[in-house]
Amino acid sequence: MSMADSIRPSLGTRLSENVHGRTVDLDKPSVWRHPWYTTAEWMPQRKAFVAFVLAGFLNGMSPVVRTTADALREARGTFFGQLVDARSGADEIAQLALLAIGGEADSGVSGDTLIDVPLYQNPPIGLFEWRKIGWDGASAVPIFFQQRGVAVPPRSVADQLTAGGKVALDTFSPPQGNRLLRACDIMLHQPRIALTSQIEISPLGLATGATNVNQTLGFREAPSNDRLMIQTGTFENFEQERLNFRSQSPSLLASNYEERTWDQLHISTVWVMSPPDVALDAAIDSTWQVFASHNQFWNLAWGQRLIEPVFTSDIFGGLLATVSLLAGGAGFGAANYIAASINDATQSAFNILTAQSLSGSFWTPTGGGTTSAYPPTPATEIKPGLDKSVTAAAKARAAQAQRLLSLDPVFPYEGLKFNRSLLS
Amino acid sequence: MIMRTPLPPPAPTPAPLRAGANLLHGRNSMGFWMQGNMGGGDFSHPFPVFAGGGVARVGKGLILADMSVEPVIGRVPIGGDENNAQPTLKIDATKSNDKGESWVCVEVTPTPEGTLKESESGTSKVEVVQRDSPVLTLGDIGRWPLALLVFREQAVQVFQVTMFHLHYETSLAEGQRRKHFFI
Repeated sequence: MSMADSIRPSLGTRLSENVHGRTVDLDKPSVWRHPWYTTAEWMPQRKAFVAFVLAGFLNGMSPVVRTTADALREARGTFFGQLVDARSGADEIAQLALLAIGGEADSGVSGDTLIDVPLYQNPPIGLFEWRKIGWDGASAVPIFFQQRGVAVPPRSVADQLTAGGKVALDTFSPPQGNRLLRACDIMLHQPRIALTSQIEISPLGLATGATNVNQTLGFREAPSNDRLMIQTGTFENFEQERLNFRSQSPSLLASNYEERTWDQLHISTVWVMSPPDVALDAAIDSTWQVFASHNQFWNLAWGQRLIEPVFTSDIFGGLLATVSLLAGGAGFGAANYIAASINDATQSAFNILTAQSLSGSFWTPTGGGTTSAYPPTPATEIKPGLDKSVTAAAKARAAQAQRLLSLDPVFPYEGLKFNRSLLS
Repeated sequence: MIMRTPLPPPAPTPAPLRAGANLLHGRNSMGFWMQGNMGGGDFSHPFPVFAGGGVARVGKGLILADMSVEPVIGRVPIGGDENNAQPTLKIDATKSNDKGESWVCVEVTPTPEGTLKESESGTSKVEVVQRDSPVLTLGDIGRWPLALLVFREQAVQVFQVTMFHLHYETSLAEGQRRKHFFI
């Protein structure tokens, strides 16, 4: 037997044979997928789209997907073969393994039992809260989808009349070939300790005759069952909310204030687009096309100014029983100020809250540089001729235009900058 | 009725061997060879972690601070040096947490001044270790995970966490413990 007879296909290769002989093919190398890479597919058992997110890590920890035993049973065999081999000993992993293989132990788990599955086990992520975008929605439509037939929302009749023009007929019926668009965000949820503020107003100070305001700062911990996890829905930009906080500040003296006990980061968005000309109330089904866009591309870090479980203070022992401020010095505790006016008191309370906010920040550990925002391609006039530099510039512009039309930026993507105030 | 044309008989063995997609085929007096690039789907990055057979190997990577330092395993840089082959880190399933997870981490112990350069007051240490928790931000030692190891009955699964060189910063305010950040 010759050496050629004993050839067998190995990893990544295929051996085929026909009348002309044998051919060895090397499978085309797959494209590298970044952390948090999101895909979605129709799950017939659930009659719904579910998402899958490639393992990503925050401070090296894997977020979990909180799901039900029923959902795992329905997805059995489609995603978590690895779990069968999971090391026993950990209750939730063992439970997952039992669900994966079925059998007698499976029947002991009720369908609505909540189970936390690590993201690296590739669990299906339920997508429930779809928001409407396009003709029947209020949000702006990305150009990517406009080019695929999703119409922008019509201007309201009131707006058109205000603008002084005639009311367009297309205000009332979608254009021909219109597609509906729905979106659902996938978010990272990081629980944290939050700031609380209690306000007491004494009508008249004995010594001064002015209103006396006591502001007491404290901490509130996240619920015990809260943990680093993947959530879906509509991402709320808390950063923007904080910027708007000043306009809400008059309410500071009317009630106690509490921060959220979590931070949130937008990971990706799953989009589904209907076939053309479906009814405006059409339900999402398997005929809708699914897309994903990404906001995060790298594993992440997260930090909070306050972290250390430490000592108590003699003066404010009740407040600092479990935690103490790591940075920022002795700003914690109570403030007592005499208000010349309610506005002054409100401003003081606001200043203290913004200075002591315990909201954390995310960053991408990239060795220092965290941006890939390239300079724009310079515009060049295209002239007839065989000038190679002009042709190259035109190609570059075409590539740039193509990038604008895709949902994701091009590699190497952009990171989150480190908040240097954490060092202080 | 469908008429089928009979296929011609198979070619006599040994059939000629040809290169298909993504392959180059060559011959010389010793036989033949095929050459292809299977690595196209990977992303080459610092600190790649490979594990198996009870040990882990970590590819070259740097901790960037006041000087660039390649972490060590034992006393040998993780990528090896002129006199030593690439070192291995013994990994042990019993060092994992109750979920079967442990991490290959880099641990930085700066000098009392917070630098990685040796000084009169002390020396620094940057080493790769296995731990059952990924991060340490407070205290004398700073820790950052390079990869997550998930132990199973017969094998260990590796999930890469760090894909860049790491910039290291530390600060120490009066009366507080030292803070460590990997940026």
